[in-house]
Amino acid sequence: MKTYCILIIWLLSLGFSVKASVVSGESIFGAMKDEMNRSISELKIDGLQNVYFIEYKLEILSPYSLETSLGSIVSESANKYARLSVNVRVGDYKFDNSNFFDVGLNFFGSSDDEQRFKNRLVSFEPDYDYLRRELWLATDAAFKQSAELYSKKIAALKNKIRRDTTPDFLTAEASEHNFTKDVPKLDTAKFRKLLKKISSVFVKYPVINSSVALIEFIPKSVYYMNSEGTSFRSDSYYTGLEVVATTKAKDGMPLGDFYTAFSKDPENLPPSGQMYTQAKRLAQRLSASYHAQAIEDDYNGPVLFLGNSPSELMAQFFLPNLVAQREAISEGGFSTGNNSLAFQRKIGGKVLPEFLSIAALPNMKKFRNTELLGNYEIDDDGLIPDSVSLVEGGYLKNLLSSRVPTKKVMKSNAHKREGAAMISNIKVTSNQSGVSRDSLKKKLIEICKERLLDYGIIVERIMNPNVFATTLYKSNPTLFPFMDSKSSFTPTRLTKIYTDGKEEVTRGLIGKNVNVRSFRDIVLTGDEAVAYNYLGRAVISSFVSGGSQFVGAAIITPEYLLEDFEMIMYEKDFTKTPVVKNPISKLK
Amino acid sequence: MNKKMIILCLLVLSLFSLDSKSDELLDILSDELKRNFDGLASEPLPPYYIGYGLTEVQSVNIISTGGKTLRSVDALNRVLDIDLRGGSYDFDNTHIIRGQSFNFGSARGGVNLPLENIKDAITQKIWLATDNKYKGAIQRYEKALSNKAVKIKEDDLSADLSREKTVVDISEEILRPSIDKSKWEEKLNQLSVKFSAHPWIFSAQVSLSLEYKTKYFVGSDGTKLRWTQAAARLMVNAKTKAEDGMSLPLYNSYFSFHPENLPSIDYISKDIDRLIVTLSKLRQSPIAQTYSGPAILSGEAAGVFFHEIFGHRVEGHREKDPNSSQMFKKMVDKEILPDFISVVFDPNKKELQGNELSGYYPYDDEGIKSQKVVSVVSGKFKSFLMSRSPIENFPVSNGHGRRQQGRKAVSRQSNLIVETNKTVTIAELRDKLIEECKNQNKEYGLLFDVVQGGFTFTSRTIPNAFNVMPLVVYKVFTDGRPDELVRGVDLIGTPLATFKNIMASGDDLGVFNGICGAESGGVPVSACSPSLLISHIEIQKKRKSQAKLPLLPPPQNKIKINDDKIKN
Repeated sequence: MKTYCILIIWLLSLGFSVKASVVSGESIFGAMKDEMNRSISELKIDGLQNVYFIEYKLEILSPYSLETSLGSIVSESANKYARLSVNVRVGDYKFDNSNFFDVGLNFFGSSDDEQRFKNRLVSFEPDYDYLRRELWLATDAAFKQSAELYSKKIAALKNKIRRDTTPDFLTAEASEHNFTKDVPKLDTAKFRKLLKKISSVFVKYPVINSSVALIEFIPKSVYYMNSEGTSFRSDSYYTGLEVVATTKAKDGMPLGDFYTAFSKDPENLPPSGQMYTQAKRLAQRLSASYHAQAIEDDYNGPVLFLGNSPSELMAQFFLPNLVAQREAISEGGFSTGNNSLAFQRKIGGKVLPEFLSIAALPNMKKFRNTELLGNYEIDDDGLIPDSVSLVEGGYLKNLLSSRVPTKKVMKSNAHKREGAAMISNIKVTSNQSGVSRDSLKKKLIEICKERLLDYGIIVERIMNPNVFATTLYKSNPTLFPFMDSKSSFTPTRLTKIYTDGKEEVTRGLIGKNVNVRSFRDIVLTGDEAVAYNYLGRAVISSFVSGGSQFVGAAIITPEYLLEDFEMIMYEKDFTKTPVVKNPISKLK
Repeated sequence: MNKKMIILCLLVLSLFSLDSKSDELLDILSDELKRNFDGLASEPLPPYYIGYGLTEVQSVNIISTGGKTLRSVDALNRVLDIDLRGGSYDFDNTHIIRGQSFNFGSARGGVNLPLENIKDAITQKIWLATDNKYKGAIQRYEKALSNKAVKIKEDDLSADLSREKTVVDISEEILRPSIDKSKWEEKLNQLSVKFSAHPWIFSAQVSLSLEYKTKYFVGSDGTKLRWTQAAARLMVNAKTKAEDGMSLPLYNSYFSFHPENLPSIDYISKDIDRLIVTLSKLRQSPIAQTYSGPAILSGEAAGVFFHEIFGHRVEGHREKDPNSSQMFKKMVDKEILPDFISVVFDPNKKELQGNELSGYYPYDDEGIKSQKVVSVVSGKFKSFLMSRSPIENFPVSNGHGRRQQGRKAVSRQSNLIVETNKTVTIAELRDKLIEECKNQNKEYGLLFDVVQGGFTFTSRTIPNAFNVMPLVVYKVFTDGRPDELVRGVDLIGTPLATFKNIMASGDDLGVFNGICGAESGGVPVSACSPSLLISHIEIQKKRKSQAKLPLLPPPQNKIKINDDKIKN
């Protein structure tokens, strides 16, 4: 008992361990302006290109995270740090040092440690003198690197016949914005209590081998200025709650499921009781999958996507293609490996059934009671976003873009988020009148009968790549397989629906060979659109953009039925189930 | 004077005395170990030994730069390490597999455990981790068996796990400090701001790292232990750059088991003043050219030198590895060093001549009582540092099985102490250096004053060389010219040749407290030695940054902000 109390004393202190600091925006922008002016006019190397654009960004983050398992805190951390990033462009808008991938530099970094000054951690309580000095060193490092990259880019083009004459960077009007706001205080005691309660749900499920419930709250302040005269100050924050559980079926098949809830303000998460109930449902679903019979054949036929699966399927395989991407020039035939390029040259073409349309709505704050993660007031370039119609009546109209133009998208629609163009809030609408779940199931059965299938498949949950890559894989890498390819997904809740209407939980099918064409087979949609927040994998790799690996986004879509879909049996040599019984089993 | 008084206000140590006969967490570990051990007993290859080592780390890290806090975090975590053995003491799943260029997954694998003593939460994680470990053990045991069958007879037929007495000791009181972080932030800011007046110092940080580890150990043989390890480290790091691009780092480091015993801010502040002066001189100093000849290593430098050149070669487990150079395997009772030198490793020592030693620990990470090891007596080699992995003629551990949490324990160094019975004053040592230079027709000898650390290679596939990285080196001229500060060199060599060249030792003592990194992670160690005169050392040029100095002069930070305007 003594030990327990001592720990609590220590943990309580954690919640208050991050010092609140008073940072003067005036000092920060003053230092940025002075050093920027000096650098634009004086920073030169004879014989090399001159600076034409500089941008400074100071981000101050105060992340808090808490992880619990079976009623106990596993880790808790409160941090505060600031990151200064400087971007210098040399040449001109038409041709500059960007859109060039220096293989050596990107893979191995510079052997000169001064290069790291252009993007490094600085104090979270900077004053004018301090920041000015940091900016001096960072601008110097960024300029030297950009000037060298420009020359390397020219050299790489020496032996090439260049067809793409798209400018490297788009001009933009100068503007000033202030989106400061009060950052809500996180009630750490409340969330400790809540997460302990939620994680305790699993004590009653001895067939579940491992479970965690965690929360993170990340407030961020940004100070931005560029040499075109744009500057802004913004505050943003987001909260994410995640419950993840895994087990192994008796035949060794790894099983897992999750529940996530996101909001901006922690107080706008769903009510505690609802999250607790969702955790319970997750435990019940996973237990049911554990007891379910594994499917014994591959499946090719109609699939009904319910629950989170219509959103996940679209988020993983369709939406990334709606981001404008530009393949960087590189040396030695190296490719930056851009993925999701299917729509880069397809504007005007048919990409979905004619009854479906898609729009990006970055200004939409809420959908019903759900705060949307893809909402933002200003993008990384300092541009104010507006709605973008992406697909109208099945035909592709536009792509989401930043100030880096592509052959087909020559205008930014203010979607630079966390380093590069990225999804915001996506709304899928149908001009067909949607139908109820029962009607969707009836249609599924009808198609099964036409195709002489004994049963159809309902996918109710699909594993989210962020949950997989972070929580699930971290909690026990041996329990769950890698999501083995970019064209496949792992359903976490599967149901067989027989032609007589009988439903039976099953397991052991993987979605395979999914691509943008798969969505043309949507034949019917549900009557209710649901908002789904998620952390989406950056479409333009963070490795290339220098930004984040995962970015908050949202999708609002109705459930839908795909007429024809391929799923294959999950057949591997699974590791055996644990030899000794789960210790919680003896308590029951 | 009032160092202690000041510090007492800063830190309140909460001393909680736990029951010395029982410990809730140890009981949970013990029960779950027994449950798993018994549960696996009926398997075709049951474990014959399981050890659970749990490290609870309470830490505070504060970094300050330019008079501002860069980072200030505290953390608490618990990491469980499992040592599970299938087979027998003589041959088990950890047996070395020969002919493989890489052993997958052999070294890492700690598991984060819940921070509260809630049995369900803790035992479920332990259970799953034990099962994973067991499955890995079965697989590796089969591989080891077939490897033994297809390869030639091993040179060293020692067992895989030593048989040791069981120990039960949970008497040590647990310290759980509460620290006034904001006071420390202020102090560090006071120190780091000193660098701001020197724009040619391109990066400078002052950091405080406090770590309070409570270690728990239970073994299926009945061992049950709980002990603590504390460390407070204050580091001052600063880096400048010479005109020719060379990066020039310098540091000061201070170690104590408890932060209240660290030097006062005034004391450190004066050290920083000296460090700034040295950095300034280093920027102007010439680059040393490659050189072979006599040199003096200061006590600290000599400690690091011995740690690299000697210490890593007496870590016992390496003698079993056919890829290791096994330099001293057949050298027991043979002369390897001059007869005036003895070397001991003493993890029981908390301090030496008033210097606290970071290589202290009461038990090693395999649950063995730490023991003093006399490794060299009057130049003759006597003993290796032993973990529970026996080698020929060394069948038991001497309490040097160490690891960072999350790694597999192997034999590692503790407090290395070089003792000599032939000392001269430092002035006499200098005279001897000059005399030796003259004998060798050298214009100058070298004095290695401050070193950053070093590294060495012990395998057979690459040359068995060492590298000590000096930061402050002087030329000592034979013609009486003043000493000249030089830069840009590393001290290199091979061990056996260098051992013979130690000529004399000073009457001083240098103590290097640091973290040694090797296959079992970073472990705190110390290296203590008097200054040494070496007749032949070799230096090579350091890697050099190719980046130019900043193109623009530093901004003139004289203008204060007001409400109206910001001027430069």
